[in-house]
Amino acid sequence: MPRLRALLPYVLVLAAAAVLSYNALHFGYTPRGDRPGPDVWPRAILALLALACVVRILTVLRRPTDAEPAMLQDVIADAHTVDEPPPAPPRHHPALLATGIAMTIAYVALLGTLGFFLDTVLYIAALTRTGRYTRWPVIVAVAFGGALMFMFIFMKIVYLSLPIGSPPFASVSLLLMQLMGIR
Amino acid sequence: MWDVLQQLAGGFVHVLAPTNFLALVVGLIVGMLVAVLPGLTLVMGVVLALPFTYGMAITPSIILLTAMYVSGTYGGAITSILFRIPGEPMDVPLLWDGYSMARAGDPAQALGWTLFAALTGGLITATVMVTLAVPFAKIALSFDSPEYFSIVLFGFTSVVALGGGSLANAFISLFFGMLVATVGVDEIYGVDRFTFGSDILRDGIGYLPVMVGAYGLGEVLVRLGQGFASPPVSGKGRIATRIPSIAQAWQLRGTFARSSLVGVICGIVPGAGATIASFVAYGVEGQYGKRRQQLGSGIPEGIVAPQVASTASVGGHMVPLLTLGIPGSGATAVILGAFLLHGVQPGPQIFQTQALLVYAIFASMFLGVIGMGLLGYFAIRPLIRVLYLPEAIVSVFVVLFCLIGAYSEHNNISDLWMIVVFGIVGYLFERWRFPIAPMVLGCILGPVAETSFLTTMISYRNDWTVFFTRPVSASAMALTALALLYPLYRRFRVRRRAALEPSKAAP
Repeated sequence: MPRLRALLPYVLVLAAAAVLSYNALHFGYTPRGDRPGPDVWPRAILALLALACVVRILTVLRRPTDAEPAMLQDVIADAHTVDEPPPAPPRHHPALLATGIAMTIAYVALLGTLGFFLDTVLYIAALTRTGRYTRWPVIVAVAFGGALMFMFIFMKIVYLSLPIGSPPFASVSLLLMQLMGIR
Repeated sequence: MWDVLQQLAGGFVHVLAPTNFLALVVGLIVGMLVAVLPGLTLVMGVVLALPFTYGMAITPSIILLTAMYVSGTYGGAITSILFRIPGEPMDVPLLWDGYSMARAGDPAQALGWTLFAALTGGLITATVMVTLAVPFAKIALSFDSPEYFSIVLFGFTSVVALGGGSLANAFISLFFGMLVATVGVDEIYGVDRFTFGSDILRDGIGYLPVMVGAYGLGEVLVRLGQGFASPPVSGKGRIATRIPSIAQAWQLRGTFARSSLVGVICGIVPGAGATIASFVAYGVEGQYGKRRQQLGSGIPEGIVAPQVASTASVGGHMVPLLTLGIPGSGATAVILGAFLLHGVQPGPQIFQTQALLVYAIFASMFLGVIGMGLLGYFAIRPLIRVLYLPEAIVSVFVVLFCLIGAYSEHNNISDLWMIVVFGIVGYLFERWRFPIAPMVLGCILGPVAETSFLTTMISYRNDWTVFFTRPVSASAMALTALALLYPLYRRFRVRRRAALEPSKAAP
């Protein structure tokens, strides 16, 4: 099972390289003499990518537990480290990660509808809470204060046109813009 | 030389103009804050500052980012020494002697040596940068497409070879980045490549969303997946810095000289950034230092070597960026992005077309190093306070800066989707131990490599031997071969050492 898990990224990349190579074979263009076509460069990269994956797959199959040398391990091997135990490896929290990714996708998807201010308030509050910060008064203050700060800096100072959203949410953005003197 | 000094004087005057000076000060402060915060990396900080430069003139923009880069090489050392939390990977060697010295009861002395080393490394690198850049640019003026292709190829291989970890993974990362750069309409034939009928992909994938997504959002996702569990900060004792005397520093002149050389060389070689410089300088000190047997027990040499080298690498990195337009690290890639966003292409011609800008950058490096020293000495206590900010809140703001930064380039929500996609790719890369830097450099330099390769093939009638018959390109090709052989030698050394250790241990 660990071996399969170790092989997964390389198999995925190899499969993607195969699909893209097939796609590159069908670029529609008119050849100009003996000039290299638009497919030459991508196909060369894809071939090298596939080769690197095959090398890695063979390495994993041959020595599944063989760890690669860490950052300049040979250079620093003689260093005496302090006699404190190293920090424990971090635990993984896949649920937190999945929630964080889903929230970020939702933030981008809702930006045009809710407008920058409302969407950002919700996003800051939700992601901070997902990040296991529990003091709600601080979360609410940071969410509103942060969204207002971003709006002020980017719309008033940097002159960036952030999404105002669609009705009825746009009225909130327009009201805040009016209060901040943003035209 | 006189001409260079005159132009440098003009650069100093230009940097002291209010807007440029403000950019320098802000860059120094933000760079140091970013390096102190364990959740943020130096490159991520420079990426996040990029959108703020859109509305600025080019000179303060580049000064801001360069100042962040310089001071960022020092900031992380503080937390390494005081709290055993390396702010950046380059600060890891400081744990061995810096933290040991602090733990032995002399944190002020450890901080003083670090600051003095950063100051010395910075001033040396600024001087080297001014001295080398003009001759480099003059040589680069004679370069044609074969030279550019072979130099970029050398850049690619050195990024892959010097990164540590799996060579195959680094190559996969590099080729992935180069492939991303091919998406969109081909410039010569006008043909769609890997667009799959999508209008978003027809415009191509810019390297900014790739960089911001992978470095910014990707890193936050990694930390969220670990439950934002940064080690707690302990040891709230009195924090001060005691600078060593000139006589004490003179005793370490060999260490300063060796490490500066390592730093500058690692800076000039694309891919070998401040982290490599820091580790290599520590290793060199372990082999050639007078007190090499005591290294790791809390001696100044173990602090000076990595710190001098990491700061000295900055100027080295700026030389190929300014003279060839080739960034050698993540941070210089962002600085290149700032140049391009303002319509300025770095390269040998920049010394004629934008001389004032170039010398202002040089001057800002000198002033920035001095400012970094002052800031590090007087503002260390307020700087440390940022460590007490909740990681979840800092991370949410990082993500928002990433998203707004990407949006602000074209005012287009599709760029935000690219950030999300490359944020997830960045997370997967971290999870599966693919280094991110080769992907980013592949994405930036891929089009340069393709254009110079195709131009060479067209100009020299598909004769690929041209890369080996012209002196500069042949030398770059030879260096490329060496860069590829180096990891194999390194692996051989590690295995031989591992094989020898049991026999040593045996009675």
